[in-house]
Formats: sequence, C-alpha cells, structure tokens
Amino acid sequence: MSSNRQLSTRSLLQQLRNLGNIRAPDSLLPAILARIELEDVAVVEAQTMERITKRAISEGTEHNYGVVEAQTMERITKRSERRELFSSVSESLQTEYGSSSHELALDTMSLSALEDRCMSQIERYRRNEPHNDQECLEVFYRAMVKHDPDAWELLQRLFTPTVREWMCHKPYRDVACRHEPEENYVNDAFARVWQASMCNRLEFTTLEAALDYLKISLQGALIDKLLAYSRPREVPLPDPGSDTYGVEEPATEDEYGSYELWEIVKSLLPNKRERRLAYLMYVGGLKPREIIHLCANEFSDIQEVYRLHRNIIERLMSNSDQMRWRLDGEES
Amino acid sequence: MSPREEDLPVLLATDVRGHFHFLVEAYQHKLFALTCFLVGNQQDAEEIVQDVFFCAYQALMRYPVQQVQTLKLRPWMTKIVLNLSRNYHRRCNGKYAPTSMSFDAPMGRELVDSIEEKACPSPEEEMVTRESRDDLLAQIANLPERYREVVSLHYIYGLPHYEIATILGHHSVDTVKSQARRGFEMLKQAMNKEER
Repeated sequence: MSSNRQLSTRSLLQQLRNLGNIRAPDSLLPAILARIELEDVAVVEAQTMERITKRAISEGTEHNYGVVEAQTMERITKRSERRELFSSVSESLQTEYGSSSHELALDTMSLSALEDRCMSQIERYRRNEPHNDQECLEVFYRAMVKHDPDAWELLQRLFTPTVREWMCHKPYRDVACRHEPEENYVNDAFARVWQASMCNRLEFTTLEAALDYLKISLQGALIDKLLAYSRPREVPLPDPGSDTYGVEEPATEDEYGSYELWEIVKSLLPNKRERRLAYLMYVGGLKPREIIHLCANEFSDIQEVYRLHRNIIERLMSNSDQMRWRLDGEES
Repeated sequence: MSPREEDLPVLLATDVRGHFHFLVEAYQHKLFALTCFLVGNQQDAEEIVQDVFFCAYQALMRYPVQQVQTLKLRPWMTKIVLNLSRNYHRRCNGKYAPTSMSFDAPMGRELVDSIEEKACPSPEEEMVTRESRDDLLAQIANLPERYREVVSLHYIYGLPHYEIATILGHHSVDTVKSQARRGFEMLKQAMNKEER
C-alpha cells in the first residue's frame, strides 16, 4: 500500500462497522425453510408409520412386524425413498387384508354416484364426525390402482379443496408463493401421487392414510420448490485449491439442453456410485453435506463424497472434447 | 408485516412453525456476516448459518412455552453461531485454532464484492479503498482466536460488552472490555504496520 498516513481509531471503527453490512444470500431463507419442512415430513412419516404398524399389530396379523417396522423406520428418515416405503407398506397391508375391503357394490357403482357419497363423507371426515371411508377409498383405488382417468379427475376434484386448505395453513405459504402461485403447488402434489401410482401399486386401507400420503406429497412439492429456488442454476465448479480448479470449462449452462447434457454426463460415468453422486449434485443441486445428511446410507462420509466428486470431475475433464462434440451434435 | 424483534419470543412460544420465518428474516444477515468472519469463507458460513437456524428450530420445538417466552433471542442465536463455528474449526483443523483467511483467494473477493454490491455506501465508506478493506479482513483473520471473536462480536456485530460476556459465559464484562480493546489495538497496529 502506498499511503503513508496512519489509520485513526475513528476510521478503523468505521471500517469495522461497514464490514458488518454483509448480507446473507437470497437463497438462505428458502434453504432453511426447506430443511425445516424436511424435518417435519420425517416426523409426519414417522407418526404415520407408527399408527399403521400399531393398528396392524393390534389386528393380530401374522407378519413379522419387528422386522418390517425396523426396515420401515429406517426408511422414513430418507425422503428420497418415501415412495418405496409407502409401496412396501401398502403391499404388506394388501397381503394382510386382501381385496375384500372393496365391497362388491362399490365396484359397480358409477363415478357420479360415488362423487355424491364421497362429498358427504369428506365433509364428515373434515368435521371429525364418524364417517365411512369406503367410497373415497374406492375412488383412490380406481384412480391409483386401476389408473382410470375419470376416477383420477374425480379424485382431484374431490380433494383439491382439502389440499388448498392444507396449503393455507402452511407457515411458509407466503414465502413459497413469492416464487410460484399456490395452484402450482396443489397441482404438483397431485402429480406426485399420480406419478407414484404409476411406478408402484399404491392402495390405502383408510382415508386417513390416503390423505396423509397426499399431504406428504404437498410437502414434497413445497420442499423441492424451495430447494430449487434456494440454489443458483449453475453447474458447480470444482473447489478452489483442488487439482482441477481453474483448468477450463465455463461455470454455467443454459437451461436449454440440460437434459441432453445430463444424458451425456451419465454416459461418461461408468461407475454407478459416481453416476448417483453426479445426479444428486448436478441434477438435484445438493451440496456434499446435504448429500451426507439425506443419503446417509449411500455414502460413508464427506471425504468419500469429495473423492468421488474429484473422480467425476477428472473423468469429465478428460472427456471434455467428447462432451463438446456430442453437445454440438445435439444442437445441430 | 414483520413483527418487532422483541415480540418474537412470544410469537414463537405460541407457534414455532408459524413464526419461525420471522426469526430467520430478522437475524439472517447479521448472523451470516458474523459467521463469515468467524469461519473465513462464505460457502461454509452459509451452511453453518443454515445449521444454526435448524438447531434453533429443533430447540424451540423442544423447549417449554415459558422458556421460549423468556428467551433472549439475540445472545442465544449468537451463542449457537459461536458453538457451531468452533465445531467447524475443530473439524477442519483437528483442534480449535484460528484459520488463516486469505482474501486474495476468490472467496475473499466474493466477500468484499457482496459488501460492495449490497451495502448502501455512505460518503465515508466510499473513501475506504478496496485494498485497505482487504487488508482489514486479512488482519481480523490473523488475530488470535479469542480476540477475533470479541472484536467480531463487538465492533462488527455491534453487541455490547455485557452481552458478549453473557454469550462467552466464562468471561467477566471487564475481561471482555480489555480483550476488545486489546484486539482493537492489535488490529490497528497491524493495519498501520501494513500502511508503512
């Protein structure tokens, strides 16, 4: 520094005060709220599972619930495996109850007749009055197991007001709605249920369980959106100081072609674990610490995540020409 | 409209989930700035501040209503920041020791940029050159740990001595005062040495 003047106490104090003006990134608030939502999902799932397991035990089933419960309790802490969990639970319950829970008369009932009955039962359910689950469960069954599109429409029509009401009670509704309209979250919740039903056989034995699943889907939609808005849309650069830092490659990619890019990246990674990590980091946008937190059973510690990430970067760097060539090919 | 800071404990006591985002909005910037100076880089500071709020949320859910109502939020949150920053140093270095923070590195520049972009500069502020600010940041990082904490809490975060003494627990107000003064003098000397 060229200046010869001595720094005065007042000037130093002023400089220190100015340093306190650093502002947190905009992504901090949604990221924190998403983590809290995740925590709440884990609690809701744990309570739901406990309820299901207790009921099953009290009904004297022959299943080995000790083992089932241990496995399911381990799973409920992981959001990513939520669908598997519900699938396995519903399968075990289905084995237990068979299909007898669906009355023959309900089987043959028209959707319009079901709609009328469901409306009144949902009202009773919402008022905490004694109600009959079977009509609503029949709609869920036709929509999610038989994949009847009309039944699916009815399901959405019947339960959209309920989902909207849950959304209104979400403490972070205002924050979430700064990013997208409420309608999108409601639709996303139904889309998730529909998607899950296409991949797994989802059958519920009580309306409460079905609505719990819908509620969790809404939370999932909310969390994913908050997480998505909590991160800049960038392909992460290698850490400063690492061997690969500053070699080349741009920091960002346009959203256009991101699917193609991911397909190319995937094809260049022969190792399954590396592919999984690349997916979590580049597509899911998770940080190493979040990966350890959310996928504790997949990676032993943060060092392993960093090591695998280094391998990924090295592989991609050594294949950068091929990537560029293939990307150019995709574009042309 | 956000509630006043002093009303937050009562609101949180009635409904933690419903009012927690007010707590985040009220403290995120100050705690983030403090954490940046305690851990030395913005990325880790961001993660630590997330952890801080997450710990706070879990604790608030666990605490009895009366305890939440009487909670002094600012020192409480600051204490969590200090504890998690210390844990961070232990994890990184294997022992509790100050990290050397190079503000020549990209993250240091980022920190300075974020101050310049987002703070509203006063005329006095504008006189402070980027170089001298870089030097100041580097000198804070080089202070011994106990002085760095007290200087950051008092001069940067703006906490009064008695509150710092409460947060640090084993310190008396006089110890805090003398450490703040000594830390400040060390900083001034180091800065003047640089200037010569």
